[in-house]
Amino acid sequence: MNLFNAIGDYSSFFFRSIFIPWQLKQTGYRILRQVYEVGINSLPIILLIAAFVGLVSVVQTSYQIAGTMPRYILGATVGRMVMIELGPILTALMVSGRCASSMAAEIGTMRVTEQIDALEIMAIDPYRFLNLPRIVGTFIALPLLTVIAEFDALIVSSTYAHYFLDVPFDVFNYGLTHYFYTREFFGGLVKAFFFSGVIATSGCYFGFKVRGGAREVGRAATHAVVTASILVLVLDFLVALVIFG
Amino acid sequence: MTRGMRESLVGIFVIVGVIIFIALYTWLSGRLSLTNTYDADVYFEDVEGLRVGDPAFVFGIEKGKVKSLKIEGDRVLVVLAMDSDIVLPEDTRFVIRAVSYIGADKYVKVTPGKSDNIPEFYIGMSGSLELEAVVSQLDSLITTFSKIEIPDLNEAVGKLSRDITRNLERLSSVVRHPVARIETLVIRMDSISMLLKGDGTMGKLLQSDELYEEIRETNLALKALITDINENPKKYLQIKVF
Repeated sequence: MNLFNAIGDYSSFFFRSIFIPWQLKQTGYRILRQVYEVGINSLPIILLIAAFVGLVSVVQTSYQIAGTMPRYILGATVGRMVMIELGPILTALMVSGRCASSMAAEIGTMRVTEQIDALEIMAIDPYRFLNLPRIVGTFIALPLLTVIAEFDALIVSSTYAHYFLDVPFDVFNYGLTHYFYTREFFGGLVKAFFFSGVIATSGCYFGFKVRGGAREVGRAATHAVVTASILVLVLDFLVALVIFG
Repeated sequence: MTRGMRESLVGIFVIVGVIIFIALYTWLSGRLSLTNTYDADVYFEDVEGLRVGDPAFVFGIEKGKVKSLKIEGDRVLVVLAMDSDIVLPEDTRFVIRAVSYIGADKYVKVTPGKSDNIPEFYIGMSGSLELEAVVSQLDSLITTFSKIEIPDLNEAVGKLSRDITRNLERLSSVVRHPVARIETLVIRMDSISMLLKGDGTMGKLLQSDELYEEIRETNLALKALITDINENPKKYLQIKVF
């Protein structure tokens, strides 16, 4: 299968999963369950990662600007780094590592144990039953996780700057707010929205395409994570090009 | 975990996420303020790149922020959110200044007046900024200097050197004859001074006290003789016709 076939197959899989009658009564709870899986279950690790993102950002920026720029630049630089790039992309990579693999493994196991065939026999559309809740759930959970991660990173970085770098809260806050651009804030969230699409679709796609046994399920999980991570970075570039280019 | 509990947790997650989203946006956009503020409407002819969120300084202390910017006709309405402890009378001055040239950051410099009246709106002062004007002049100066090419400079220095050499040669040729004459004069003066030193006749004549006394006595004797001649001419002049 060449690259164009793969892109076409992947895209049609995404649209086939999304543009179907939703039947909220039946899928509502399944969406909610996926929000729980992707959002709440990922929350501890995302909070931890975001805290260290904030710490690393503030330490590195402080080292770079020491003695050459006013201290409020620390807040401005860390704020923009976290909002535009680090917050959305690290959250997405973490969620792709955690959720895309589990989605691929779960659906792949259903495929090899012929549960999906059973669904079709019972006239239940597996795209609506399995894919739609995962994709929609990720669309809801990932932007919220990104916002929480950004907030966490900024709180941690400003606290560290206050207590360890002699940059008071109000000075840090001045840089943070003075160099705030609405476009950058929402640009980061737009990225998160696109990322959620590719993460969930990769998980479902590679799970659906499993043929064989347990070994193929494992490979599908690996492929799902790798593809989701690559697509996250590609989309990051494309969205940045459109919004900030 | 029961279905109800899971639904509740998801609900809490979504609500907390939305609240954090709103809080983060409010915080970062500078709308989150713990101090009480009031709006001061200031009209400027030109806001020169002022942005929403830029600070307003009163006597050098940040006491407000630019809340909004709006074009109204041929001027711009700047709404400043000023701290409630700041009173801005009618004759308050509002000037837009640059924080730094590189960052192009602006702020509103507010100098409260002393009037008792508080108007509905204020008129701000526009115009070129001091710092930018100076830097602009510096820029033009640097541009002028940068236009001077090194070959031109070398050529100019060479030309100047040649001119100076030529002028020095002319000067030395003009000065040469008077110098020779002066040297001759000096030699003659030296010989005269040698004569007057006393070894020669003139020196002895000038420096001998004895001669001086003799000449003086002679002069006195001559005066006495003339007086005597005048008084007794017959004694000296005897005229005989026959």
